[in-house]
Amino acid sequence: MSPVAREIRRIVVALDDSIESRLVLDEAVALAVRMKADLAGLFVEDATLLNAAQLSFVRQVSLSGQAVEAMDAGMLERSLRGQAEAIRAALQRAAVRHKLTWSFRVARGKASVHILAAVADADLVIMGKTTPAVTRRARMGATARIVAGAPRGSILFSEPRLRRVLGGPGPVVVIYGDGRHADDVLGLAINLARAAEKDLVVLIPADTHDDGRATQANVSAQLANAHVRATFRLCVGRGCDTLVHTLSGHRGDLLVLAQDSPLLGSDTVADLIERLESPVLVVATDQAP
Amino acid sequence: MPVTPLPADKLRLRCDLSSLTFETTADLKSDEDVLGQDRAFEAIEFGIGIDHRGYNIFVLGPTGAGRHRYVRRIVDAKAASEPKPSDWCYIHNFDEPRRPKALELPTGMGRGLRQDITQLIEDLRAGIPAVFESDEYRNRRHAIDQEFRDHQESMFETIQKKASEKNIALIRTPTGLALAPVRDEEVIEPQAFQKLPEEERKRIESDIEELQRELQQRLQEVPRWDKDRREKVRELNRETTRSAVTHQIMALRAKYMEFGKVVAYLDAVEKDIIDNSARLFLEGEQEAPAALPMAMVQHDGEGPRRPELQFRRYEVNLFVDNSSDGNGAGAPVYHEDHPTLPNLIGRAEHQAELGALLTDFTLLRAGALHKANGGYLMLDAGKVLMQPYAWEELKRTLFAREIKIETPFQSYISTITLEPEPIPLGVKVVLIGDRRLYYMLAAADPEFDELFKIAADFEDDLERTDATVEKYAGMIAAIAEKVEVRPLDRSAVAHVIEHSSREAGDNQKLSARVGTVTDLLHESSHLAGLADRSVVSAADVQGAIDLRIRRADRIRTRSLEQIERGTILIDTKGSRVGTINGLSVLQIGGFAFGRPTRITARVRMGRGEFVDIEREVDLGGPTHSKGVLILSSYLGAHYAIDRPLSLRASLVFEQSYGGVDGDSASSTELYAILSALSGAPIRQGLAVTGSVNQYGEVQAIGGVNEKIEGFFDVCAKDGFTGDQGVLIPHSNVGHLMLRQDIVDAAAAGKFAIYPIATIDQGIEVLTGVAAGDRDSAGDFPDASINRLVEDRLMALADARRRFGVSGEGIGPG
Repeated sequence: MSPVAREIRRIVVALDDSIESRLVLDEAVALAVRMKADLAGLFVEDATLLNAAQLSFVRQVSLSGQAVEAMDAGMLERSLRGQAEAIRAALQRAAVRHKLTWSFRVARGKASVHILAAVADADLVIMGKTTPAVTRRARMGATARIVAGAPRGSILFSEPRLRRVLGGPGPVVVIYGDGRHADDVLGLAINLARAAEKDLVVLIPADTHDDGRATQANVSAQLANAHVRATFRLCVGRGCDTLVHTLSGHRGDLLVLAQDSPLLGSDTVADLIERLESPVLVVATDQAP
Repeated sequence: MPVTPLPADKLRLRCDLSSLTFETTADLKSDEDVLGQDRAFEAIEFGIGIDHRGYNIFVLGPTGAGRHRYVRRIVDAKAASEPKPSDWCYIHNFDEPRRPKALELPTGMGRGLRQDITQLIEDLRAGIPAVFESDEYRNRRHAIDQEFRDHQESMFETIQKKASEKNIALIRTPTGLALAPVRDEEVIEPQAFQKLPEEERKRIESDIEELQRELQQRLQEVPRWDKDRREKVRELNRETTRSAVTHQIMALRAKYMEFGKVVAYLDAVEKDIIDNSARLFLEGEQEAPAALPMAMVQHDGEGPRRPELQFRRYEVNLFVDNSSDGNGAGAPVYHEDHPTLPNLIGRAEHQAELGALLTDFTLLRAGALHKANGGYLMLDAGKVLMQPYAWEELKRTLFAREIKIETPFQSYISTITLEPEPIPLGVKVVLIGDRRLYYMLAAADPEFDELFKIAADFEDDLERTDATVEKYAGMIAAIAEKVEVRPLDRSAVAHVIEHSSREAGDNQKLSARVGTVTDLLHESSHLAGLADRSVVSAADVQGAIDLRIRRADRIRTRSLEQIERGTILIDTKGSRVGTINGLSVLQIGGFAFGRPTRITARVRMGRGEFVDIEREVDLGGPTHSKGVLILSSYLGAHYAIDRPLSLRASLVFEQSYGGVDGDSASSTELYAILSALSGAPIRQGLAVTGSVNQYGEVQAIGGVNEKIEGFFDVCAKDGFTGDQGVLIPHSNVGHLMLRQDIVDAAAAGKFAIYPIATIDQGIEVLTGVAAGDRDSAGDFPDASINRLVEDRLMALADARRRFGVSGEGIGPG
């Protein structure tokens, strides 16, 4: 059976008003243009913030440390509405310029909940890896970590400030799995590689060299008519360290893998995302992507 | 003794072909293409040679006299023997960017310096990023950034840890940070918080307040840490850049060690590059660690500009390049054909960038004064005066002896302007203009004489002698060779010389307007070419003259047509009392032609009034009125001296509507009055020109050739009778250079030119009746014109006397 390059007809992009989020939006627009997909923006008004604003004794300290003021709930609501409007306008401008079909929705609550809910009617969800965090020592924001661990849909974790899916010279790297969704993951990677006009590097988990060769032959046959230039790499080791080391050699612009990829070993996909600079597309395995 | 018509050979002074000893101008070797300008030449050479302030030259004279050519020749010759002046560059002033510095360099060195600096920057643009990409730099830079990040993260982690221990979360808000109580990793909702025991609520609030204070204190320390970090990064950048720059600059410093200003400039370049290396050479370099929250990223230094613009400040603007490749040998000679203010004193161009007009020292452009500095600047005076501010700025610059680039509307335009360091000026300015301008400037501008002490006055014409004719032939040959027209044969040269006399309006002169001669040679050669002749003949020259007249004579033709059709009444046959043909000249553009006008006079008893009808209706000019008053005086003094002049005479130029001036018709008017008084009819086949004085002497007038030709053309249309001609002042005989057809007609007895010295001579020719001289008794002969006039005047006086006795007045007079 040949992996059919999976169509991506609808992309949901999770947005806030940060500069990082604007870059994620640019990335999403570029992908939607290449994929000829509809683009839906999702802005979540953070419930944590809104709750905090309800507490009369909570104060807001400016980043310069020069000003301390009460958190005015009304002001916060207006501020969030303003942010939503600003990002909606940015989405609209980009969509009109590129003739994309677009929509925009504002939700209130926990960002992770709404993002995971959006998976249901999207072929691909894109979100920033570092959505607002107090510190950057941890590469991955709490929301991203929650979403990465949830068993749903196809979610692209992007950090455009460091590496972009499109525009860079690196290939699309896909970890081929042995699960029932292996072909779906490969199909998604093929589609992205084609759309981005990139080469494809297929990492094949293998316990032995012979096993790996057999799988490679199989995958190679499947890619015969995929119209993408592919190379193969056998991976015997397991775990984040091994993967990071392997991937750094390929300098890929995108890693595509199943949520339960055997190459992760005992590590989680969130651990891997946190350590990689490149964007990562995680395909959940408890349901068909 | 009656006046006889002039012989044909007096009507046009021929150029004797036998005096021309060549076949064609190709045989002549002469490079003298300007003649008769010795006075002007001496003045120019004197002016060029004298090296003192204010000894600039104003070359005045008629257009086409060869002023530009000759001045250029003298100036070029002088300049060739003088040294080339220095090169001038403008460079960036690192202390005051608005005031670019001027750099004087030995001739040719400007190019070298510009090239060296360009090369230096190219090398550094490649070399400096390389040192910034080295492991050493990256490691040191990473360490600095990491130190800052660690500091910052440590601070946040400490607070986060303390907060977490007290079930408090540190959260990001749209504009800052906040601390809020949490339960099960969620911020406690207000209702839930209110349900907490009061003691716990107070504890939470107290904890938050304490943490908040600490957070605020720590946040206030961040800018200081960041400042330290940036300073460390800057110092690292400086140190790194210095390693790449110093040895390259040192090589240039050694090369230009004799030139202190260049060395100082190189020092400034080195310092600036070292201080600004990161911004200049590293794309996207902000000196900020990548992991800083965006709100804390400090953008220091200038705003973003395109990379190529950042390097402009190091360029050398080779402002005046006097190297041999860029200019001819010797001192510069520059002719500015369009002397606008910016073209004279230089300008700062502007570039539009993001809607604003920007400029810098690289956009400074040299003006004519810069280009001619150390040499000679030639300008057309009329053009300079026509350009706003140009004359004033030229004078100011010559007085100040330095060139300062300024925009006249500088203070009115809201854009970036420069004040470049002025450049010392040493230039000889040669202004070329007509006499009117010279005299106007001399009269109206008190500074003019101080700055233009030398006037070189070009002549309009030169004496026509055998020697000058020979030189003139040589000049024609030189021009023909220079402008590359066909050679002229002897007859053609003779014809050009004769035409030159005609242009001069004097058969004893030759026109000095070589421009006109050049045009005639072009046109004659063209006609010869059309006729497939390799040598220009007299026929070609005459053809060119005829075509030139043909092109210009539309109005003359219409005028003749009106006379022919009787619309304008001019008789060329028969005789009439008190009616005479006067002659006038119309100048339209560059073409002048003569036209006859009927002048009539009527007399009656009066009190000696002469009514000049032209003057009465404001169509007569003052000179014309003067002529009419002279008639009155002549009559009063010449006839019936012992009686009051008791007539009222009226004079009119019939069918003249455009105004009359000049006194060249005063003799004509007198003849008409004498005819009217004497009753002797005037021959209408004759026309008259000439002014008269109180003694009845006929005086010279201008345009004699055109006037004769004008009446001749009318007679030719009307038909020759053999009784036609023109009376001209005797003193104008030397000006006659008439058309060949008139000369031929005169030779054939069809048309006569009478040289008239006195009114008596003229009236005799016009009436065929002797004027008559007073005898010993003081009486004029019977039946003479003068007798008839006197008798009439006496009769009028008697009548007037009788009229007065009878008590009847004759009006207030």
